[in-house]
Amino acid sequence: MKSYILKLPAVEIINRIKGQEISAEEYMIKLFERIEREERKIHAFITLTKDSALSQARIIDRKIKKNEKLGRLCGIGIAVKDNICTDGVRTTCGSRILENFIPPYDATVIERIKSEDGIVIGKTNMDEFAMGSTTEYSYFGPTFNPWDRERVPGGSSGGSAAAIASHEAGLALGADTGGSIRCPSSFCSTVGLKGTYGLVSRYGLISYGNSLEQIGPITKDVKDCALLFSCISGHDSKDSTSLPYPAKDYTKALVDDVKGLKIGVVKEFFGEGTDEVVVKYVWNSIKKLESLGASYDELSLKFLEYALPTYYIIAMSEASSNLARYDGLRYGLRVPNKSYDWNTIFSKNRKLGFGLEVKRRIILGTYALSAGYFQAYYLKAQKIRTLIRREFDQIFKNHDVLICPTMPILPFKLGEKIKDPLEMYMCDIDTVPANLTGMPAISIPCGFYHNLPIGLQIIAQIYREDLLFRVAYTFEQN
Amino acid sequence: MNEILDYFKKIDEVDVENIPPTYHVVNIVNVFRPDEVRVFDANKIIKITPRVKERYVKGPKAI
Repeated sequence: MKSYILKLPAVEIINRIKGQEISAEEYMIKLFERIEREERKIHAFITLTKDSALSQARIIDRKIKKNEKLGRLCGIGIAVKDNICTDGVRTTCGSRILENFIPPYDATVIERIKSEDGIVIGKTNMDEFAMGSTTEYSYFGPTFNPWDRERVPGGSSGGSAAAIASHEAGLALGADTGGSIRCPSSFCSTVGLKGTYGLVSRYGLISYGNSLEQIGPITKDVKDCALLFSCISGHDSKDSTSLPYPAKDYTKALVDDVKGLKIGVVKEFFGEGTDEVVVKYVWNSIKKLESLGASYDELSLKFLEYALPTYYIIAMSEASSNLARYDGLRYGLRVPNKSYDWNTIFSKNRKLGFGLEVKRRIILGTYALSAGYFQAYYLKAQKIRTLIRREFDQIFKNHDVLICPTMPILPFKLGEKIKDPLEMYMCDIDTVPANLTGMPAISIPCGFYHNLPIGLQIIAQIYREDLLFRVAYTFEQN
Repeated sequence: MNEILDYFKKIDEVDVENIPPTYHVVNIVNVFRPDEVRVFDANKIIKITPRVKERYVKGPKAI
């Protein structure tokens, strides 16, 4: 009875809880029954917080009975990527080095979802320190794609997207440094948004590439995405890179109308290596939007082909600096031998604590920042970043949105790309430009090919999430 | 690793003379906030520390 409720969009579930058609506790019990069944097949979570989720649900039920004011996320179960700090709940970042790390505070986004009566149900699996595009690099083992268990769910927020696709969560939070929200959204047929850099507070997000990353929603549909984004965005004094604007209500941007909107189709986004099936589906989607009243033209971006190496140089450089803090002294993994000196013990802790891909990126990032190579790699990449941003700015003077594939390929099999890191990096070719430029980008489902999901990416100018929601919503409704 | 570094060399093709770097995409500078003291429960913090003596973090041997 009522188990269909778990498959409804979060907005519908919230309304039913508020309308007392189902109690928050009853919903939460059903949700955890499903999680227990599905987890054996999917492995979306690293840690579950069943007891606290159930007691939170009972508190919300009491609020409902007493007719108290209810938050916008009333009672909904939210899966949180495991690089977002949760007070008293283990936060591993998918790494052995943080296997037993229990943060003493909540990230700002967690405070915000709690203040809106949302309920954290667990922490989701991810590539170690968000470095990867498949969730295979997790110390805790891979997550499986709910649409085809032989295939990867994408990454690095693969656990969050898989949790949504398998109805193990009402809403989910991911984080996106080079596509980590949009890639798994594309592979799992969910909606995923990376907002404008600075709109969502990074306080409490374990840093990887701090000038690139943003926390964002992964949801079942566009309306859920707008709701969660409205709840988590807005200025936060604890994050010095937070933009000084108050939160907006993005659900007002859900307008089923694209008449008069101008779409740019950049040919480099459909370049070599893009699967023909993906090209066909994305083009069909563009034609559909055209039939609904939008217009499009084809363009070229000269510097786009440099976006991927530029991104990886910057991301690895920032990572090598951000990950320097893990020494195993104040928290994290510490080898037991007491006779080691400081240098030896730090090295041993890091050797044992970090996985292969993390070590690779620390080494390459350190190299790119070292004296003699700084100018050739890091500084040069930052200059190319300026050129890429300028080109995008130019296009957005007379286009509202750009449309392209989220991923150039269909979800692939586990183990297929893990042996060749460069091939793995190539998967991010269409997602990294939004991180380099700070521009918002959303991935929405645009169909299935032999039961494998395909994602459509929409990119807009800085602060124009409203346009993303409008185009995405119109596409979804028609 | 060398293969990756070779791939990075692709950026050599771009002429960046007189182009300023973009270290950060948002142009906000000098962000201030009130210096408010936030008290954490010391036990909660020390609980996650691998080696502790009384209420202090124990480091490796220095001499």
